Amino acid sequence: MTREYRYLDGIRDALTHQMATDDRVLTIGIDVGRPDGPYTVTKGLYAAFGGERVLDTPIAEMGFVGAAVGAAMAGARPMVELMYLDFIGSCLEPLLNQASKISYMSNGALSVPLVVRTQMGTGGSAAAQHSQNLEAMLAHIPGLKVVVPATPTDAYGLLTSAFADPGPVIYIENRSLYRFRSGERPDDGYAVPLGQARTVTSGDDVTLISYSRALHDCMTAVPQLQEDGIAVDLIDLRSIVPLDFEAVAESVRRTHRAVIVHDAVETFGVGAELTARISTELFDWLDAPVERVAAGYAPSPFAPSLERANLPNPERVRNAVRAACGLAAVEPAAA
Amino acid sequence: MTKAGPSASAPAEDDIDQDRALRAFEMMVTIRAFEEGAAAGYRSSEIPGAVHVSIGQEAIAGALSVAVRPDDALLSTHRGHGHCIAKGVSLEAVWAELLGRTTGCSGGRGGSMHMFSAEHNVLGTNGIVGPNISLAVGHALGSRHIKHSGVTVVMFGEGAAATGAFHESLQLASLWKVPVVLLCENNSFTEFTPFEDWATFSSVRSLAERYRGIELLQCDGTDLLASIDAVDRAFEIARAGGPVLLEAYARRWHGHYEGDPQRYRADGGGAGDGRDPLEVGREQLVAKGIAAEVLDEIAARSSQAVDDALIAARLADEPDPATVLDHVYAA
Ligand SMILES: Cc1ncc(C[n+]2csc(CCOP(=O)(O)OP(=O)(O)O)c2C)c(N)n1
Ligand SMILES: [Mg+2]
Repeated sequence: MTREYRYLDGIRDALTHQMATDDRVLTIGIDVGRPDGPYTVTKGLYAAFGGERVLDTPIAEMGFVGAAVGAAMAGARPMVELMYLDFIGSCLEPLLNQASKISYMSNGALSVPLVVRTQMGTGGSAAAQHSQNLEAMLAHIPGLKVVVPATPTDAYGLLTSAFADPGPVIYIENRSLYRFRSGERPDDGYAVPLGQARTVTSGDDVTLISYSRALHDCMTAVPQLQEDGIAVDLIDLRSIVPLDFEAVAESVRRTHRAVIVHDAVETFGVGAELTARISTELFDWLDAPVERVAAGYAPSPFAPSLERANLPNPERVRNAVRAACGLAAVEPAAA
Repeated sequence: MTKAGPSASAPAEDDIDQDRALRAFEMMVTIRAFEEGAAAGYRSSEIPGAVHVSIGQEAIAGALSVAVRPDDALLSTHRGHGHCIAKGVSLEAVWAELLGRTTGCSGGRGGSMHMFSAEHNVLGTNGIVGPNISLAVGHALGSRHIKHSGVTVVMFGEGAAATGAFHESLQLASLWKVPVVLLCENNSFTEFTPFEDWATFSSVRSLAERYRGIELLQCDGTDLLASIDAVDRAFEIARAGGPVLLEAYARRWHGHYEGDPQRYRADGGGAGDGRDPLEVGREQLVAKGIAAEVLDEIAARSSQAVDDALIAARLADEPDPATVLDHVYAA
């Protein structure tokens, strides 16, 4: 059947496949078992695999994320679900000071094959404590990998690779994409390697770099830019760590212009890192300053009007690309 | 190669008590010699970074050494040199780690508070108070799932009982009924504050009482034979499948860290603050009919082994600067 495939199904199917084919895999988290998951991602796992492998936990994030680190060190392949990325405040310790450093501190003798699945997402007035995009904060910790799928098939393929990785991988879903549909269900065990960006559209005028939800704003902007006479090389990073800078560099050497788009706050973000690297490593190829489109440096606001004002959107992307190409901004459409 | 620390393997069937007690005694005096050497190494600046020694608490590690098996896993604390030695890591590998050498158990990448030894199932001393308890509970869960035969033991101080990690982990250990030994060394000081000045509870055990299904034990951690009994019992319970918390009381003789001026301590610390576990153990073994000369000989041999190991560790290379970025990610 070629019914279009949902992002949520990509995650669920990949996870279910791992549970079914590898007895070492455990699913751990709040309401992941009998209640079938807060966002239904883990639906059916408890019924299929039972309470020995699908463990509902109390609200003890530090305890159960730490426990998942320990279980991984014992040779299990735990997948721990952190209901909201914002809740990392309650359990950063086992990731920051334990999981991320154990390979290094043990001189490579030990590893922590752990998958932390969590979700972020702005929009919907989830506001200050439930809609932060904290991927850069995690990427700043050497030893963690940070994965940010934008499409249903990538959601599947990247989760497969997260399980295959010998170290801790933070797999960050975007809840505003859960019901997004595209493509077909991949074959069982389909894998997308971590650290391999995907070219979404090809063009020689400007390199547009994004991931997760914001990628979809870019995809909306690309045809408009085409009408503006700008051919866009759109790159979906797919993972922040490892970062496929080679794909970015290859593109920027052709286009001589770069624009980075993400929902996370701009200051000290992924865009800042990319801008720095593009500026130093590709200085001679650049024809324009690198542009960024990202959230302003404020907590996520509640009021829809404020939330809209602070987030990237296709129009802002379009104008940033036009600016990189030396064109004036188009006026916002009347509200 | 110098020889490993005293063996941590299972005792022979005959005369089990005497043999095990002797081996625990040897471990205890070895750790004392090691820790005195580490304190000296700090004073002479041979050891970079912070050093926390366990002088006054050695009977607990001695008892641990005769109860723990190679397939058990150990997680420890910032005060963990003795625990690693008790788990079988060689004196030379621990020394070399403190000196930041390639032959250190973490290849010089860890240091005193971050010592690992995969081959001995030592899953880290720890610079952070609390999270080792969560890791241990999860390790026990994972171990049971993967069907390892061993149990997981985690060492922690009474200070850790105040952390959220302790309580969250107890909740999970109780819910999941995992084979974990939670071994609390209550040494009456939490950094610079006496236990009674901060704790609004009478004992660490009393906190754990609220979590169903965790067996609670206590012992005098300056008493070698009592410690052996209690630690044995704790491992027995965990081997039968359930979580157990043992609170062992001892005194921390030195400062929180070497170089700690200890202004908070009326007696200034040092020997005499509490019973000396080495003296107690010695009297107990003599009472069991072991000749004093045998014990003297063990003490001399242990101290020689510690010195030899240090000399060997000093000969090892410092890590190659070109390797600084190696092992950030597991291969
Ligand atoms: C989370 C955290 N908070 C504070 C510290 C600083 N610190 C290191 S050891 C210590 C005291 C620990 O006391 P206890 O658990 O009783 O162990 P002991 O030092 O007595 O062996 C403190 C506060 C730390 N390492 N980690
Ligand atoms: Mg203490």
